[in-house]
Amino acid sequence: MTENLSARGFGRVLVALGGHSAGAAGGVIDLATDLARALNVEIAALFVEEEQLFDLVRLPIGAAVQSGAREAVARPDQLLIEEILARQARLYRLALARRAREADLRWSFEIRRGDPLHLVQAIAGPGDLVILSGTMAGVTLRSSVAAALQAMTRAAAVIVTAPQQPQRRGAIAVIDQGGLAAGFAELAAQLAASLREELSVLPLHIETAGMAYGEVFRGEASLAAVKAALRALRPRLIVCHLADNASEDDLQRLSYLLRAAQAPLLMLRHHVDLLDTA
Amino acid sequence: MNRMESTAAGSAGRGALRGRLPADVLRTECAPDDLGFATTAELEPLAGLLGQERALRSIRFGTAIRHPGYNLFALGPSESGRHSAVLSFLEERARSEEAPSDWVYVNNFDDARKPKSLCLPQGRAVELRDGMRELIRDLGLAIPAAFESEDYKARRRSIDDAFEEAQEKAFEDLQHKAESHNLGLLRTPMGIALAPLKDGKVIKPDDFNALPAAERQAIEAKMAELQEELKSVVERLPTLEKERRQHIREATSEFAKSAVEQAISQLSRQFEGVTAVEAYLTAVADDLVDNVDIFLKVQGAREESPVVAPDLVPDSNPRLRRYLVNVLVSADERGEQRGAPVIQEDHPTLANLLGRIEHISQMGALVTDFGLIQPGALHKANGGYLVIDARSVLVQPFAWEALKRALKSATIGIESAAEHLGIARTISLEPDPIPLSVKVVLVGERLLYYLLCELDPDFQKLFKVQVDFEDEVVRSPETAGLFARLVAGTVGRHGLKPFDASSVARLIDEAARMADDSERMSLRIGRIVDIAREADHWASEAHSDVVGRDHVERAISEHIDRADRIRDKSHESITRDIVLVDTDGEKIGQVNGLSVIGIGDFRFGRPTRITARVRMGAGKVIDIEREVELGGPVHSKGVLILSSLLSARYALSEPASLWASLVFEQSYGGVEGDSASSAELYALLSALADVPLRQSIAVTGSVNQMGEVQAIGGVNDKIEGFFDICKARGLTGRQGVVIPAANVKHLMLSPEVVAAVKEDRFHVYSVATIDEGIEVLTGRPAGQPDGEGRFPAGSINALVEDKLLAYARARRRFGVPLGGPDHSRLAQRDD
Repeated sequence: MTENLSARGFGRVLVALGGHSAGAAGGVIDLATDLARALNVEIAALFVEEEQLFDLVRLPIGAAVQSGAREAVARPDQLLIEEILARQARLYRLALARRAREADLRWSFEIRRGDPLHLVQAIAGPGDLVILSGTMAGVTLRSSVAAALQAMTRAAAVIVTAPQQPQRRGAIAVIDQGGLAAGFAELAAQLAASLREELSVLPLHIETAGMAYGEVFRGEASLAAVKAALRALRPRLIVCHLADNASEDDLQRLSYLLRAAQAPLLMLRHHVDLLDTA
Repeated sequence: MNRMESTAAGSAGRGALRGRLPADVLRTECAPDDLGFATTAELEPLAGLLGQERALRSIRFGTAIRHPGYNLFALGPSESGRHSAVLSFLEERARSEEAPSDWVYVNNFDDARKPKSLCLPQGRAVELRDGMRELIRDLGLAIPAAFESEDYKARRRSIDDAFEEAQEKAFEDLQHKAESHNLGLLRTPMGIALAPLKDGKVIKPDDFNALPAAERQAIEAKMAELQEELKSVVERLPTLEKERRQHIREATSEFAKSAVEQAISQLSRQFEGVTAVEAYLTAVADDLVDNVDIFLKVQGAREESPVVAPDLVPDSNPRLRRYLVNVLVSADERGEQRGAPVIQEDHPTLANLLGRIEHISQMGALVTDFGLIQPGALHKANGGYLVIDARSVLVQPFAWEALKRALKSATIGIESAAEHLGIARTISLEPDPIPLSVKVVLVGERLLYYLLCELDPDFQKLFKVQVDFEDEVVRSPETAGLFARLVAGTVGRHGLKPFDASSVARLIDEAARMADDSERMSLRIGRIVDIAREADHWASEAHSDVVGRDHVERAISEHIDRADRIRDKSHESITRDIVLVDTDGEKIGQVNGLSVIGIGDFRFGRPTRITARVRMGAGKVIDIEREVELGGPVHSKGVLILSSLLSARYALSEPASLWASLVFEQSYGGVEGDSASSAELYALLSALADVPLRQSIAVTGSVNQMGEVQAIGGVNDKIEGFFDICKARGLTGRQGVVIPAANVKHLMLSPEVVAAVKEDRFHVYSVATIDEGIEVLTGRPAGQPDGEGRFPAGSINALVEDKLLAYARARRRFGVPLGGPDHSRLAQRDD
């Protein structure tokens, strides 16, 4: 099974880690290693020290607001930020080393400073499954999904994680927006089989009202129904496919689903024919 | 030898017999034929007590009266059957009385250090305990089910959604607003920051610095404005989170309450009308709602087990122990016993009486809770009767005072000996005291009772009912019949072989011997039962289906044989002439006295040489035993009495001019009692009269100032003790013992002694006065004074008086006025 998946074109799991989601670090590493094992590919971790942070520090204006701190508003301090990032990088590296050793995976860990999206796009190739931690590139989920969509211009698939810790167990949920790409459902099914999880297909049709898998969904109402279904399902991973040129609506919709399910969202491009890449 | 012939004084009976006694008065045996049965199998066992009518009246009164302080003290000798008699009576009475209420301890949800006691109708404590266990099991399923329900999930989701949407919307609004001013929100390790953007990214510092000052100021002003909004959003996050938690708590409480109320309703219906339990169940329901998370956290364990996971058993789950019901006393747990409880506490320590709070070790610390409260005997006997051995409770530290406190306050409060001693300072519990209504029956020796009356001011207020058990019962055909039924009861209780009439008769004789009285029977039932059991053993050894006289005889003799090593050694020291005791011949100033030695439960008699020496002096009789502090006060009293008798009887017209000394030869232990005072007087009279005393005769009896010989104790042992020595040396037919006439009725001598007397090889003389005794010992008349107070010439008394007059005359020659003896001697020399 894992050989088949690998043969379809995934050559590596690339997990991009930022300095803001340390709380979910273990979960992101777990997800990355589980998928790498399922795909039988190596795992590459990229820890990004966001350049913007240091630009912010050097600006003569601006302050960070922190909830619950003694000083609610404080000027960003370069030394402190560097120290925190270094510590987080060490934690990620340790977690990755341990999990990869357990799963008998090849792994690498790299620290770079720069723009996360630029770095990911520079590194990612067409056979990469990219994982972005949910809040790497912005405060809101919407900005995270937007970043993921940009990253997809290079990678075969991108997973964006919610800020919460991903679950270790749970179903694989497939969002079917009609017209499934060839091999898409099969990939989801084989991922589920490899991870030994249930597979659950949730029909969603936004553009046109109609019958899909025996149920009628209309416009936003159908989105709410999927959200409720995701909440009840508590999936481990949501799989959906996107058109090449994702619209603002797609962005909103995916952010909405990501928040509703609180589970990582695996996005595949329509035009990638996974079966043909073998 | 002048033998006195015995004379009976008509109806005065054996007590009036004097002189040499016939064999038939030395032992009164029960005739088996008079008992009127063949074996005890024919008899109805004696249900009550023999000869204890007074004690029974006291018990009836003490158990019937329902006022405080009317507790009982059963006093009497050991082995009198007090314990079993009291228990038997109480059990019979308790059966017809109402069983008391049940008591439990439960958690005090307001203050766990002060557990609450609940009183339940009899037999319902276990029902409550089991009901609570069932409730917890039910809730282990019902509560997780309630929280897994779609209703709860929907409610919870709506709360979470509202919170998340509010949080996300606040940031999105701010982000939109910031973006409209070309500013962005950025998550940093130090929090969320606002930054001016260029091409969607934080502007480079050089670019920013290159901006016109006015533009920089405008950006700065806008950032300051938005920063306040950001600060407001961030500051609202904890409030939002707090509100979210509050809403979740409310929802949780609502669902938990519904689940708990449903589950507890059945138990509440079961105990409707039991006010204490109703209040408790209300408190339980409130506490369950507050602590519903306990059931949610153990849910995982439950799923692994097909039945009930141990985690849901309050006894084993520390977090569920608060819902335990600790059944302290319950009618259910008393098993077959019906009616009021009768508890016998054999080991009445403080903890065993009042109960105790146990501790368990957790992580090296000793911890406890209400579930570790253990009941004491007072809890178990509450509403009934508690029987305690008085000596046992008195020797246990703090137990006696604690028992009195409980009786005075009519409550049971648990106390710890460690706290009394100040050696334990661990945090412990203060359980509710439990109201106490109990009759305590102390069982003990008379001495203890009288000491407590004397020394403990509380005692008579708390133990007002004296149950005094008799030591012995009058021996009559009627009591002999009852005694036989008592034996029949023993046979039944202990599964013994039936006793034939001759063996019962022998037991009756032994009971009389134990009483040291031919007209009484001892009520040391314990000893009688022992003999019966041992006789049964010997009957089995002999393959006999019935216990006969020989078996009883053997039981008695084997018992003596096991115990008489010291007696053998003592007698051996006499027969080997290590201890000098003559059993033949005559000696002046020397007589054989008799004493009884008791070791454990075995007593034996032993002769002791008593000697007297006399000379002229100042009218003083020296008791050497007293001088060296080996003589007890009663013994000294006897010597003073005989000294007084001498002074008042002889040479009344002259000043007392005798110096005499008396001693128990080869006596190295203490001497107590006055039973040798007549012997001492005989030795003294012999020394004064210069008339030898027969060494083949031993003497016992006390004497009064009038010269009358008075009764003493242990007469049978004393006679047999001297007989054994004589027998060992060979009975001569001249040997015998002089006893007080008042002791004749006590004679229950061994058949061997009786046979020797019958064969004229040994004799027992009964005397009422010193004169009678001295005649037996000297073979000469004592001499009665004539009208002028003069004794017949040659009589013992005349010789004594002559000697005393001679001393007085001789002393007068030393008489010197006012100068004292030294002057007189000087004067004599001058002459």
